[in-house]
Amino acid sequence: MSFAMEIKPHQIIRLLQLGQTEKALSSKTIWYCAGCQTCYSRCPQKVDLPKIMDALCQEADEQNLIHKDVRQIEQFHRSFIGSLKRSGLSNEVLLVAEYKLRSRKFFSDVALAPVMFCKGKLKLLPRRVKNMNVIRKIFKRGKV
Amino acid sequence: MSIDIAYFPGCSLHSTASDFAKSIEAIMPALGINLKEIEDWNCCGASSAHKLDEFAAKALPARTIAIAANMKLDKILAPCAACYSGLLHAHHAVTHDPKLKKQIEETIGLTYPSKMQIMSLPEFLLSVAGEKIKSSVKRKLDVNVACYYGCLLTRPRELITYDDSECPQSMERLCQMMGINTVEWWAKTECCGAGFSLMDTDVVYKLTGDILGSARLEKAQVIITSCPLCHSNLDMRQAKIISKSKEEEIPVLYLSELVGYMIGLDPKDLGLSQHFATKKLKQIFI
Repeated sequence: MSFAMEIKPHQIIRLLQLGQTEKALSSKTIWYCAGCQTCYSRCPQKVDLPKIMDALCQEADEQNLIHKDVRQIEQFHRSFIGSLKRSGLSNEVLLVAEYKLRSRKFFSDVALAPVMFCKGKLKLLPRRVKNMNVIRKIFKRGKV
Repeated sequence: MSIDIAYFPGCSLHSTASDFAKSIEAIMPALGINLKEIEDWNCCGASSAHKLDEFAAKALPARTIAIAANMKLDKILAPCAACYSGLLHAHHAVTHDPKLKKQIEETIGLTYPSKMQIMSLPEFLLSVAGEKIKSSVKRKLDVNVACYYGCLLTRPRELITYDDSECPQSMERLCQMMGINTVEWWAKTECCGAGFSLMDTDVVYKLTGDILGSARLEKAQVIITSCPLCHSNLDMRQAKIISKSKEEEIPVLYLSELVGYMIGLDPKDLGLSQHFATKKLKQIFI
């Protein structure tokens, strides 16, 4: 994913080492980390970069420093978590609908939806976790 | 004698990857495996939980693992690579951090087990059903197969030891057992772009395009994968990727669909008709 990052991962680490935390937190880079684990698996010093990227995303969220150009990524994650809070599962139909509304990307992929529906890939009435109390407790304890 | 295993399908296998679930549920009885779906399982949290809520990223999978232990099962099959990774990370964190374990147990109201083996599909088929697969082969398949692992089936190497993270071989070994020829190719563990399929599709077009190009370079005629998101990017997004270059379509099968086909099951029962890239697939398999 580093081809899509304006600040490369090793530069994020350098920013943190130099105390320029805000630059790291307000970067687009941290949201473009897909968590592929390649860096962590190869690093001879065992630096857990995916975990650092996650922590930076959570901190950026807390401090309101999310870069405006990655709003659609943040919106996707919020929509996903919204679905979990409602049913304990990701309801892919509602998730995509909510994400398209939030991000205003109304027409992209719209041609795929009916095909997916006919192929049985979109369930309109998926199941819901029965013990939703526990799911709500999990999210109350967390930060989001 | 059949073997019981806890089965965690995850959200994708119940909707956009229902073809993956269909083939898994079709092959298991034939292989003497009794899948016991984890009762009232919840989403593993996928990438959204670990991006925004560290506690939920651990507690959500922990609940599902604790329920499996309550069902007196000690092995979980998690076919979705993201679920597999989430469960592994949660299990490692909870069993190495007594404070987190206590917080999670208080929240989920269940005792967390000290031992639980979490398995990906290639790992499971090779270690538990390998011999049965070998002796059940009923068809011949004369195509070159490229086995695609993506990211989370073999990384991070700190948590995953059943296969190598740079040149994994578990799916190749299964293919060899079924008499199928495989190719070596540089993109076998490259990221497809995963969830960026929705968040920034151009990224997926680039990464998945490179993967398809790598398979084509080695004359692969079929790609197999064991992750719903990888499959979606390689299969559903393939038409757009090859529309400009006019290259030939490569069918993308789930590992379980290939196994099901080779042990003689009806392709109709394997979910193959739910794929998008079906031109060549119909010629080879149906």
